[in-house]
Amino acid sequence: MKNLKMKSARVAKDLSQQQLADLIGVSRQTISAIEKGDYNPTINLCIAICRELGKTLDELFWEE
Amino acid sequence: MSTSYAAGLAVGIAAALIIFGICWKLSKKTMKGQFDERQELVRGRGYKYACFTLLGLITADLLAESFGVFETLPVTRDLALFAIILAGVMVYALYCIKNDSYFGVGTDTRTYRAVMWVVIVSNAISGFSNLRDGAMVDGKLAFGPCASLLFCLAFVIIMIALYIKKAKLAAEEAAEDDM
Repeated sequence: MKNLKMKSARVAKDLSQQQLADLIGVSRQTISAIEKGDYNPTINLCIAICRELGKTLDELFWEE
Repeated sequence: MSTSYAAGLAVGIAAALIIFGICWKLSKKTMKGQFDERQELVRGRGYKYACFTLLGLITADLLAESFGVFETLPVTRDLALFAIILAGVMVYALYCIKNDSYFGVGTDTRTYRAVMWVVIVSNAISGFSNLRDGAMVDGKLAFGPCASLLFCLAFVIIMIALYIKKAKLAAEEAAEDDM
């Protein structure tokens, strides 16, 4: 399932996938795969993404 | 195996190990070229598929040997074994390339591509110069004359895959920028 919440949070921060990837220390393709729903990140990577985007885990990764 | 051939082989392996060691040390120092968690996962799967490929092909090789198939094939067994090893390497490399895990995060891919071109050209030169003396020994394609060309072919396939992937990623990035 696509992670549209993460994508919109990234766009709201005016960050490209590459910029977010550089901040976290992963490849751009990994960010792309998470947003497309092709890869489930570990909790460590989720926390790193949340920190950079200023969001909580619930806000970005909890599916209702 | 002649003494000069064995000495050349030993020097070649030692040089490769030294270069690998220097590159490994440098990559550790700069922290560039590290793989992220998704890439590690993909590379693990790549190892698995390469391992199964090797197991399957080695089994086929053993069966072919026990049933005397190599006597009818125009290939020596050592060349066939070399091709099997290359097949395993190719499965691993192509799987990693397909899933964006061939290069680590922040790796300067131009350097790698340049090194690969050097490998391709040097093996092509060596392979074609060996071919001048004939590729066949006792009516079979032999390891000595053909190994370099086979190695060269494998690297050419990897390079083509890398360029196709590069073009795909560029298109993907352009599409992402437009959004």
